[in-house]
Amino acid sequence: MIELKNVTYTYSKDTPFEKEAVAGVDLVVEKGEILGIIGHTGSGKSTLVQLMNGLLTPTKGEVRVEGNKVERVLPQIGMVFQYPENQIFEETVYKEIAFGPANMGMGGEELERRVAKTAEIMDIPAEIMKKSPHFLSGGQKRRIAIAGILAMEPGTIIFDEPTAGLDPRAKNHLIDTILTLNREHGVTVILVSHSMEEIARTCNRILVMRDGKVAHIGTVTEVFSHEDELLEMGLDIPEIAQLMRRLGYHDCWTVEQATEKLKEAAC
Amino acid sequence: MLRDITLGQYFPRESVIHRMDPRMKIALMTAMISACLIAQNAVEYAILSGFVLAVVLLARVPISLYLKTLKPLAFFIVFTCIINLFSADGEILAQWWIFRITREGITLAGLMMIRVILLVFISSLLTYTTSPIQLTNGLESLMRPLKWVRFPSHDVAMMMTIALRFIPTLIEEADKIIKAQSARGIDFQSGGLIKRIKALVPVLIPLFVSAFHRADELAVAMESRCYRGGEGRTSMIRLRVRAADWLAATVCVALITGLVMI
Ligand SMILES: Nc1ncnc2c1ncn2[C@@H]1O[C@H](COP(=O)(O)OP(=O)(O)O)[C@@H](O)[C@H]1O
Ligand SMILES: [Mg+2]
Repeated sequence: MIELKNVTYTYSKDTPFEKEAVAGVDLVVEKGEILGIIGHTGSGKSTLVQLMNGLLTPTKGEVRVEGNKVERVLPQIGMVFQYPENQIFEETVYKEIAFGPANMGMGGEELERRVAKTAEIMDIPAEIMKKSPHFLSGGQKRRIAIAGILAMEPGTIIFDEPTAGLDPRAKNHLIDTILTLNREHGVTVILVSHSMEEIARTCNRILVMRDGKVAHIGTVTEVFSHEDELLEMGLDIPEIAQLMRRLGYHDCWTVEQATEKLKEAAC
Repeated sequence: MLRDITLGQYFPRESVIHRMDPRMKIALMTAMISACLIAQNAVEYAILSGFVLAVVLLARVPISLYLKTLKPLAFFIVFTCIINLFSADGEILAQWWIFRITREGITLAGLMMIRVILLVFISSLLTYTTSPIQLTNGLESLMRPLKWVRFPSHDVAMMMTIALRFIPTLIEEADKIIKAQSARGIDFQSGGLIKRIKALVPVLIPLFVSAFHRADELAVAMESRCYRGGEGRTSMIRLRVRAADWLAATVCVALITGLVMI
């Protein structure tokens, strides 16, 4: 469980470039949930998630994980940055994935097993494990970079816009993997995204950020029912939901839900 | 953390100093620095400091920024002061073992400190009030006579522009990669020298990879807009020396002549 109490973060404090990116946020992330974070560019999403695992220390307020105050970077909360493939540096895919757990002091067979298991979850084919990651496709590089974080077996993973710049197939594949992680491996997921479809498909709860503050937090239905306000913030609701609204269905957010409703109606 | 480096950062404002011709600013800054180096006694330094302070106030850039650039130099300043304090001969005020503090030593140390501070203020004045583009335009224009000795002034200026443009981008990128790798369990703060150098590898490699990618993309973008070097190229920004610039030059020259005379 991650608790934020009245957390504020100011970049370049005490200089003329001072910028309050997160302002007085109260939030609790429950174990096992998928929390979506949406908001306009610059609304403080990336800053907020970096506060959660200790990469940034709040200027005011405090962050607690499992009741303990966060004072340094926490290995039990993994962080997948935007464009994580930019952090790849090892000569082989295997070494890249093993880097995190090796830093935690793991070695020998245990490490090998850990890497193999992670590669399987991330659908990384065994034949590329000995290849250089630098010459693979963008989608594969991203899966390898994510595997590098997953290999540390964090109980919570933060994804900051994980599907940005991927093709539709790689996007769907990644979202499916995130769902599997949550449902089968019990990982708590925090997902920052600009795609309302992705958010509606995956999340239990949604947090809407606006100018560093929490504008809304609640279930998918609760948050997406403020359509006008979301539009005014430069956000949106899923396209399928817009269609369903025009047809008179008001709590239908994903293609699956819509299909059910329409089938029912057709009978 | 890396972003707090402010040396050489432009601070946009509306001020007479900001509006000056960059070439004139570069020339006058060089003159002022020489003046700092030839000034000898307290009176001369007082006049110079007064003048620099007046220009700083005119430039309307917060004083705190200048002080921030001084901070990393604090050790150097204190060190030179101490050396000066103990090494001068003259009227002895206090003595202990081989250390002597003389009246001359105190004056010398004080003047040395003022000199270094003035140098930092003057060079920061230039970079705070002149955008990188203006700065390189000015330098290119000043270097133009060197064409006679086949010095590629345009190419050098273009290289500087690109370097200046990408420094903040690289710092941002480095900041991000450092964060990403520390989330993967790298410790940059503790351990011996070898361990710390090793910790840099996972940061430097991705940084170089992305810098090369970026350089490639930039080259393509420039070529597709028909960039082919300085030959026959005109500039969108016409530099013009105006009345205010001549006024500033007159004041500076008068001040320096005055200092040399007394
Ligand atoms: N390292 C930084 N230094 C200074 N300002 C920053 C830094 N990172 C982000 N900001 C500023 O903080 C605000 C919030 O940024 P961010 O958290 O990245 O928003 P988002 O992820 O929602 O786009 C923005 O105005 C941004 O310009
Ligand atoms: Mg962001």
